[in-house]
Amino acid sequence: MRLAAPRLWIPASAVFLAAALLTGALVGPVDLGALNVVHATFAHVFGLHSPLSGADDAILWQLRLPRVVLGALVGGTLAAAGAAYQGVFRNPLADPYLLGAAAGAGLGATLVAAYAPAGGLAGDLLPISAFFGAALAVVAAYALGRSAGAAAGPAALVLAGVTIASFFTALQTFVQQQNVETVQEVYSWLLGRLATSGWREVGIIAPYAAAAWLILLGHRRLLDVLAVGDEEAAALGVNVGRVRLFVVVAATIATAAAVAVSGLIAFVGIIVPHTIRLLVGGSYRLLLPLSVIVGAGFLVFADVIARTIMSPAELPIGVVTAFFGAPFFAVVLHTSKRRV
Amino acid sequence: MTALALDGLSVTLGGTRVVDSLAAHVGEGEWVALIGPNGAGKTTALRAVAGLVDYEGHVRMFGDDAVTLTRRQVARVIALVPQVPLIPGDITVGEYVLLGRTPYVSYLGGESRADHAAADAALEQLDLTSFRCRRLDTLSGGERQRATLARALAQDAPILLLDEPTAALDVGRQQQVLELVDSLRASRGLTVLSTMHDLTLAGQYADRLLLLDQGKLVAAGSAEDVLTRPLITEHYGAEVAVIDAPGSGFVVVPVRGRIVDGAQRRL
Repeated sequence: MRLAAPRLWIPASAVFLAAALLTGALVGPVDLGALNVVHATFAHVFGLHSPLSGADDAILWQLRLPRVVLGALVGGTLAAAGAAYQGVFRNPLADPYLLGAAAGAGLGATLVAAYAPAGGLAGDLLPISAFFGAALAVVAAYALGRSAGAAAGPAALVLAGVTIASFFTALQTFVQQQNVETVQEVYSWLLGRLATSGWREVGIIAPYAAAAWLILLGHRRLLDVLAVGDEEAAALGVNVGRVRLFVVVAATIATAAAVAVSGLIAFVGIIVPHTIRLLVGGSYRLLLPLSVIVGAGFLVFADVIARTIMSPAELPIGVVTAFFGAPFFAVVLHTSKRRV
Repeated sequence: MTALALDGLSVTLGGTRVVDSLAAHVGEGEWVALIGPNGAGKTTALRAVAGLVDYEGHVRMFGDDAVTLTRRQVARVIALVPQVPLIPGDITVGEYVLLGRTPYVSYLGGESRADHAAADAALEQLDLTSFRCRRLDTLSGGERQRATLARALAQDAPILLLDEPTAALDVGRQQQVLELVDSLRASRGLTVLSTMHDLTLAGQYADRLLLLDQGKLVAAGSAEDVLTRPLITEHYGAEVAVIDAPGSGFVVVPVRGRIVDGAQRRL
């Protein structure tokens, strides 16, 4: 089911992303107009005069665009990290949280919710604590997996990730049980949300996302080599352990940054790469760039649904990605005549 | 010139000496087959030569000790075709064969025009040009093996290591694969070191046979020297007859029971 020539996929996905960004900027209680939105955005980027009134301009530049851009950064990062994890672990079920990033971030967030002094400080501390929790969990899992020896291969790392995740989840549950009043705050964070205060969150994640995208895209050919197995990759002259380390570090740091600003958004890291695999093929040369672009567009669309479908209330975005993503993926899986 | 020289090669896996002080050389353009019973250390010896397992002793390729070469440099001299390659089903034959150019591509770089040309040449030589855009999981077993061989050829390495190239193939495809390897050896001047299960085929295609048993080299030489009833009985624990069939070399036939009649027996 190859739908089009491979070279057409990149421009097609770019159109999808552009449509998502425009939709995200347009949809909301106040009608801004498509032309004005595009015009005003360029005006801000290039320091020109915005055609919108002061209030409308603030809605666009301080509320909608930061949220749209944040969604694109988080979505692209999670999808690319998921694809990369599936590659280095040769495991179709791998997602960016495989090595314990989610459990670590959950513990970090819970600790802040339970013990940090109430008030504005907790809001600032939570992303930082979640970031370090995620990073710590993955470092621990990596060290544990490597201690089993390089010959044990990716399976040892995956098992180490499961071990660390269970342990961190146990700690998190314990802390939560001791501080029952934090359950709601932690729970809503765990379901994922794209809440922004101006461009602050974008600023937090952008450097990590940019670095991770560059590093992962740079490794896309080597991820194809890893697909033939550790030993054959080594026979082709590749230092498999080093490639796996670089890819895991890049994907993990970016995932931790995404988790810090948006909570745990499930499913994007699985569904986006696999949909692309089924439609386009499994070579990472195309899979990784497409995962970034499509993942970005997908999450922006999901966020539009999350904040409009029950307006003015907001659905957790993780619910939307799974609720709409799962049936879509089921259709792709069913109509595809290929094996996953 | 000696393409490959093994000197005191020993491999210990899990406390067991799997390959024990193996000494051998393979001349440039020669085809040497490693034979021996299951667990004799054939595959492990091959993996040691490719640098995929820690070993004691020395492996020299065209005079250079492998320990002085980087992994990439080794990959430019030695190409390995494993017995059961891991086939990523969702990439195309063209993408797969291009992976053979990995030792020539810089860490984060892409393939050059020369790399694409080498991969195209390998595809053409193995009659796979029309398969270029086919996914690997749509190929038959024989076609997949040709794709793996094409990937190894794209590597442009002068030494080809084949681990059981005929395992799981029917008799016709076994012949086709071995004839193919032999013609590639001639056209590309390759040196071939292969493990072989089938003694008759090993004798027919290889210039020399190395018989391993429990990690040790116990016999080496031409088919006539190595495929003898006493050697095979001793090391395989098998009851066989070896028939000198004109045009077929030495045919090793299993014999049921102890009585061997009729055939022209070679003792």
